[in-house]
Amino acid sequence: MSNDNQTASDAGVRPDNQDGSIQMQNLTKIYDPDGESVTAIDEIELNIEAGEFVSLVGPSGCGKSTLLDCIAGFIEPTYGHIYVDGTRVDGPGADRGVVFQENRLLPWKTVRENINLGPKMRSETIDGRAEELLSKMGIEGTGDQYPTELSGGMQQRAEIARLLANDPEIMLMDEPFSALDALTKEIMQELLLEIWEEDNRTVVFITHDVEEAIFLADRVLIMTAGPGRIKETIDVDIERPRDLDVTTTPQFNELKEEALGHIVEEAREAMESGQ
Amino acid sequence: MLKGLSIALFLSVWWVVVEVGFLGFDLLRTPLETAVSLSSFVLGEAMGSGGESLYVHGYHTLYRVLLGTGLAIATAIPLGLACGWSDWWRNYVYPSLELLRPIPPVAWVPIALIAFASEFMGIVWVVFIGAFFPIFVNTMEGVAQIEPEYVRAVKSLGGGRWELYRHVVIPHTIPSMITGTTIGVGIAWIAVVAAEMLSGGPGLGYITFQSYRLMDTGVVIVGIMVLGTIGALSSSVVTRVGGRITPWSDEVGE
Repeated sequence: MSNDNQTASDAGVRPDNQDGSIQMQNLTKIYDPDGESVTAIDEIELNIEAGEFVSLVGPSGCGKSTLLDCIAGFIEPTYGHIYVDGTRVDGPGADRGVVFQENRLLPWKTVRENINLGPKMRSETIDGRAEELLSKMGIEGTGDQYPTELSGGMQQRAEIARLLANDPEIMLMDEPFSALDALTKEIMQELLLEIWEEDNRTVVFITHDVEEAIFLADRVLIMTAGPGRIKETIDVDIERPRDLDVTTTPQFNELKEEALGHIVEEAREAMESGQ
Repeated sequence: MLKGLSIALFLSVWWVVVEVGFLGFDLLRTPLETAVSLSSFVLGEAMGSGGESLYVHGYHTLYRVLLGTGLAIATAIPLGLACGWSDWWRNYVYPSLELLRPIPPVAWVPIALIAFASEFMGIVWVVFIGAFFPIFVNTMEGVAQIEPEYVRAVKSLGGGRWELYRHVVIPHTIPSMITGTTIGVGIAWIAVVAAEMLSGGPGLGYITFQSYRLMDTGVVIVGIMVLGTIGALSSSVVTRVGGRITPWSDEVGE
């Protein structure tokens, strides 16, 4: 798949000895609104291997976005550390690309300018790269348009193209498809897997949709609310490449029931404890 | 059609009040007389007693407005960006600007005419002060409305401080800068007329006020018509240029 002499950035193909592992140690984030501290995530210990696809599921307010923001470097943990390939995270960086819940293409730049932005900031040559990515994402011909001229699904594709153009080791996705209609969402899930299978970047994918989490991931982490902890890990050993047909298999349904069981249990506990 | 009707109605009311002599209106000129004097001034006849033409007065006024507004744009935008984006500027520079902001620009005229070495500089200062604050305040508020996700997106693509300015802060705020400039230009015209009335000529504000003293109402009416027209033109220029440079935004222009 890759040629030893090629670097990842000029070919867009990752070398086999890839980077992108994430280690979290004792990761805790306490917010302090009005002096009444709220523990968003509590002593999370988690290792994610390079090239692994991990989904994080949990009820809203369980701290999954906080966890992602910590990995992205947008917020600083109160205690604990995050390491990416052994280097401590101390802020955002181009090695960790983010796909936001609400589309965050820059509205004042055309789709092409958005896609070229990352490489351009590093003064890399970008000839034809945007066009290649647009056609890979199935939105060729939209390069000269402004983001608001595209539909939500197309904007999401363009945002993923922008991330790929920057060639990060890690993709952090915060409920990226939750605002899309059901059909578009399914198409995007398959497209995401296709892309991921090509170059195996590490993916941390946040969702509240259990089916989506299982379909996409190697590993589904179920989070508890208040304070956010990882309650359960479910390994998804469904063969790859996957398409949406696997969501009707008995194996898939078993995993789904297992996951839902944990989530329901968690919700019940939360209700009983008055949250 | 309705527009034409409204203007026709306005002209007839004007004509009637002058003819009938409502209050002191008999001292003014009818629309027809005004049109005649307007066309003679447009053809270059000297306006009032000083002997300068409409174009000489217009040139002086326009020059002061352009210079004052240009200086205001050149200083208010960087200061607005800095005070909006950086805590240091907001804490140490913004408070003293806030102190000056409530002063109506026209109230600066006496001080400006005393403190500056020439009438020209005094007038430009008043225009500058008038245009500065709308641009400054709009720019600063535009920066405050930047959604943090845009900043995060650019940081995650590897952007540093300078890239944030270039790719987020400045482009995001351009529509607000244009809004501020549109308001600023309007105030600049108010300010220039007031300053010229008090300082001396040549200039459209000066000749309008001077002719009032001499009861030359033909010049007065033509003066305010020309001021109104140039004022409207200049704000439409700002809006058009603004629309051109912000193709992504429907906030500005058409």
